[in-house]
Amino acid sequence: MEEKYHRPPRLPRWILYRFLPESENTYLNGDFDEIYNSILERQGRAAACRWYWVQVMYWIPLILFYSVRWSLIMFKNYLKITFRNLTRQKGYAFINIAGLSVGLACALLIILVVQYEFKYESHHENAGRIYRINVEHTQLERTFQSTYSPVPLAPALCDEVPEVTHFARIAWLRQTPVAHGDRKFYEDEVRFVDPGILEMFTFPLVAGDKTTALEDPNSVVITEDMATKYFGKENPLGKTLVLLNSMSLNVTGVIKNHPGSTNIRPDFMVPLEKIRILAGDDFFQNWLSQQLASYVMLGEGHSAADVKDKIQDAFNRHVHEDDGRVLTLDQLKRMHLFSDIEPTGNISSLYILIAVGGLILLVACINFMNLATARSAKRAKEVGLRKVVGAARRQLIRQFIGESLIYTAISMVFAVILVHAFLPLLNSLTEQVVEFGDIFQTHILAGMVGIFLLVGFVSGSYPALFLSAVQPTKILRSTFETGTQGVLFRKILVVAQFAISIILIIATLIFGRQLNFLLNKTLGFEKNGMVIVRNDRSTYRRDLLPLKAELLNDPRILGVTGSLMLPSSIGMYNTVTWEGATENQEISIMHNRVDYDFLDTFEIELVAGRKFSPEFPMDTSAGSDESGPENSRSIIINQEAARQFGWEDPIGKKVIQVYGTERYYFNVVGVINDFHFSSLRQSIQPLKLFLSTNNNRYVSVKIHMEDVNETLEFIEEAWTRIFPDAPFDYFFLDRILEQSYQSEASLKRLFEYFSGLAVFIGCLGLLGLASYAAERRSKEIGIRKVMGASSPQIVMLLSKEFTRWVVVANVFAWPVAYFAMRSWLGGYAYRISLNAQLGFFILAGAVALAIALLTVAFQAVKAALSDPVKTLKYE
Amino acid sequence: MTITNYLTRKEELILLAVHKLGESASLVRVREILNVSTGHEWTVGNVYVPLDRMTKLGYLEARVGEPTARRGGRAVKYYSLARQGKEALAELKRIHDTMWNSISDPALEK
Repeated sequence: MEEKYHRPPRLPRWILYRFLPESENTYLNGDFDEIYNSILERQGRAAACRWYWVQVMYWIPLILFYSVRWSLIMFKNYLKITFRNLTRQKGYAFINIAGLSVGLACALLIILVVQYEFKYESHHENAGRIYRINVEHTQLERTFQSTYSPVPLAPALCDEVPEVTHFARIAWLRQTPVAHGDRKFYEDEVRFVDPGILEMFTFPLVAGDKTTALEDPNSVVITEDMATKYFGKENPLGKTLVLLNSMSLNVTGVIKNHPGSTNIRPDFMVPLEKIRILAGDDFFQNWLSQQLASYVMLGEGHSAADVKDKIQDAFNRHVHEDDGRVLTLDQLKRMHLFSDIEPTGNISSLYILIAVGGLILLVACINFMNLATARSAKRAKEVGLRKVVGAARRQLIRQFIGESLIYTAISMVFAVILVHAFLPLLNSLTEQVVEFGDIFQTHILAGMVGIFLLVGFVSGSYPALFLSAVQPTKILRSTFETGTQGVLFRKILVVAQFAISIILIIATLIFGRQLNFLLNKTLGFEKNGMVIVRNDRSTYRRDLLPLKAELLNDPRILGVTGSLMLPSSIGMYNTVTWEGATENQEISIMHNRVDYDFLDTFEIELVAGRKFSPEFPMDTSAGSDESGPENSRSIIINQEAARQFGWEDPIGKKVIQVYGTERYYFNVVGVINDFHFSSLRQSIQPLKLFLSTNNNRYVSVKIHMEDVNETLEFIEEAWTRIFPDAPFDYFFLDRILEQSYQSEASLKRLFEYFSGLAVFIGCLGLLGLASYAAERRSKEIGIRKVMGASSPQIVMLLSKEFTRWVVVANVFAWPVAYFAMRSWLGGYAYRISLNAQLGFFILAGAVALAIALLTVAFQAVKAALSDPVKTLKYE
Repeated sequence: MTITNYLTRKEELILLAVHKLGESASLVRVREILNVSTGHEWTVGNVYVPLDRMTKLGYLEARVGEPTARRGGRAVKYYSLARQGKEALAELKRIHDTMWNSISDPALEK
């Protein structure tokens, strides 16, 4: 009978041990061992092992069912107790649920904003395989990146690199006149594209065939909106649209309107072939200039890293060997947030938002914990009794966690309702088009469940651990000091809560200051009252003199000038060397072509030399000779350029532009003040101005800010009389400048709301704690009053404690806020000095303190005015 | 309510097995009998849960036996029929017999 004992494999044995009911553990394990041994003897170890494992797998669900059934029965009891507590203490329940709801709603709204930003371009099925080709060009330690690439590049790559399966090029045409009969509009979203674009990108066609729609060079594919705009309810297919007053195109396809979360939103797609008429054959063979955006699609299973070298090699075969341009790839689905060049989204402000959402949620959790611990005295008797009748600590923890999960679930429902109500407001703040339906995507729902569990567990953890640990004898002997447990912990929590609120208030104030600074900084040129009329391609070379003569007759018009680019957005540059430079020393310099009165109209200050004038023939290209230092053409440079050239007295010095072996000379006649011609995020760069009277992409008219509408009408009337075929398309310069700081503006507005909410939640918690404290000390207050304390003294007594916490919170909040704001401001070349803003730190603290005091005082006054007889009569 | 409302067919078989084994009715033995007589493999859980339930309901009585080396030094639990269990079996037998007596179909005699 006595046989050898073989021990079953360790892991399943341990699992069995964990899952078997405690009381039966010994016998059952014995049974398993016995059967295991007998199988082992008869059929060998492998069979026995297999049997053991199968048993474990069968056993676990059975046991789980067994224990879940029991916990369900207990759960019903917990649920009942929770709801009884909830209805008995309506005030606390309200504060708890209100705080959590608002916190959760904030978190959900932020999740929606963030998911929207991450969703960009993801509706294109191939978004993971499509890459934009960027061109990087390093000159003198400065790298220039462009999203534009040479025209013949994409087809060449498709031919020569096997991994590239498709390509599509997109060429822009802004302000294009489009007409159908008498319906004529100027369109910004006309694109010349390769026919492959319909295969590569996901532009669902509602009419037409995607394989043939763009085959014919005279075809055009439009969006649904455009179809309605030009053809009303008629069937658009086969209708004719006239582009640029001359190009007749047949509508061969209609695509769905673009979703909000995309940056590639052509309204009109015309085959690229058609551009030959506008730009000539050279356009398609020019490897030097970068004219359009090129997208390539890689075959399944290839990544950018695989093909980067091959693409560069193919490019190098086509260009001069010292070309030096480097190609980089930008994945379509990452382009919005993570592109190295011109990302359209702002990932860092998303991170800030996520952090804010997390902080608000934390504040809400802290609230819950605070109130639960403060109320613990009321629950301690229940806990004591449960323990006496045999509740294990584990069960009590489960009960309290369960309770907080129930609160969280209720709050979640309210939070979703709040989200529904406030989504339009959020959309107007962020200028997104987030829809409420977005909340029902699987990953958002999963996120919500995650937040629900996290908040439930975090906010339930402290009461669960703290209350479950109390000794039943102490509670039931009624020596349990009510509410004294966890006082220190509660203080820390309140301090943390207020510290977070104060940090958010400071951030809001500083954001606002920086934004105002950006908007109101003296840019070095006049932006107010500047009406800018845009010329299109066909009209910008016309002479402005007749228009000027007409407009300047009117006293409301203060100046008229033309320029290639506006002073606020000069984006063209080239490299030059200069008189006195060492061999091969070059810098890159921005440039603009301007009319005679450009400096006067924009009130740009001349520091030295003279302005352009008709008296000097050398100012114009006709009267000058660029090929030698004598009689060279006049330019005006800014102070930064003079500084970088190292010139003490720049007037009369020469700037030299080198093209291969040829050198062109320019004579500096004036120096202007450094004005900000690009975003204030960047510092000022060297600039040179040429005179040109017929390069007027923009006509700038300075007007009196009175009777603006009438003046505009007057300008329009004159404009259409002098240039009858050009549209009067105008905007205000200051408006455009404001728009360029939109991301700062929307961040500031979001912060205003969110920091307000954080303070609100914090105060809810404080309100709860204060009323609890007042209630707990009601007898003490009664006695004090009987002994002659006045009401103000009682208010002082109760408020003092809370005030101290808020003051302490300031001490923690200030340094954190200081360093956070310093790093944020570091991203701006022009910024407010943080040290000058320290007043705002004190202000934020004072605001928090005032709000806290108001909250507490409300309770304190109520307590102080109460009749001592009522509180003392049962003693 | 009669006993048949409380006992499943599985439990009935287990009661029979316990009865048949007498003194040596441990979980392992009961399972062996069931494996042999039904012709398929019973999992431990499938035997243990009814045994445990019927013990709690009072059909069976359990007693703890000696530990053996083969069981990794752990004691064995023996089951035996309680009075209620015997009554239940008798009742079930009576019902079965009554039902079967009224049926004579050669197709079922296999």
